[in-house]
Amino acid sequence: MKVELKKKANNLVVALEGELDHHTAVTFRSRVQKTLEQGKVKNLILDLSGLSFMDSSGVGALLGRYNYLALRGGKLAVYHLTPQVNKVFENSGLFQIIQEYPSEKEALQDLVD
Amino acid sequence: MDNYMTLEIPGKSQNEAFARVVVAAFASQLDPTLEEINDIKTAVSEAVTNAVIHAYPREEGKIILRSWLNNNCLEVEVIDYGTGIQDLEIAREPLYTSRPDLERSGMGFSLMEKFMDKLEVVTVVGQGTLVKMQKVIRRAHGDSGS
Repeated sequence: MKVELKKKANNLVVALEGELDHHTAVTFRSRVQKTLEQGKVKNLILDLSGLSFMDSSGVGALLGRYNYLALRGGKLAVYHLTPQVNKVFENSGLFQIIQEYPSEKEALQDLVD
Repeated sequence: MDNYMTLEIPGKSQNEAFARVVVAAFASQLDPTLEEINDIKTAVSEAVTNAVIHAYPREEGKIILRSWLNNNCLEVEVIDYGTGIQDLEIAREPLYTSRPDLERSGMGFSLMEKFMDKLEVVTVVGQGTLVKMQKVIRRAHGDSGS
């Protein structure tokens, strides 16, 4: 799995490529968490256009980041979900706590302080 | 019985992707839609991941996948010889996890249930668990689809 990070103002934008399951969640968690813990960003925005598969282990990894951000007043946002990932989001209730945007632009506009 | 296959793998996390791709490739003989293929991949991934994490928390044990194609139905069994599940009713509840230390969502069984047409679990503490799932491929055998 490829994890590409870039900072935009106080947001961390992460593009995921590949499959997010129990095996690859380790990479996602360590790369993203390390940057979050440096404390210079408030919100996490995930570009999921390259994520072809995610299962409940991926849901757990996203929930872990959501909880970390929520405790610090930050938000988790996503955009460009592929059909399989969208279905897992719907069936696991993730849309109830994670905001989806049409693109990075809308997410950045909305999450600006 | 139209076709069948058996796969034996050690409970390594890198085999989660391998196992779901194998079953999806096998199921493709029934000419499923992309959504049906993804449903199968997700459900198999959940069952195999459960075996990797929960059945064999200390040592690495073996996982057996058996699959059959019957008319337009895919049947998959995921078998382990690990710890077994103490309380199956609780384990199958959405959001329940026995390992809150591991960032688990507790949605594994819920997704298997939602993405497949039938889910059966047989478990014996100390002996292992059998997860049996079925999915009917709607487009199979020249149906125009629904």
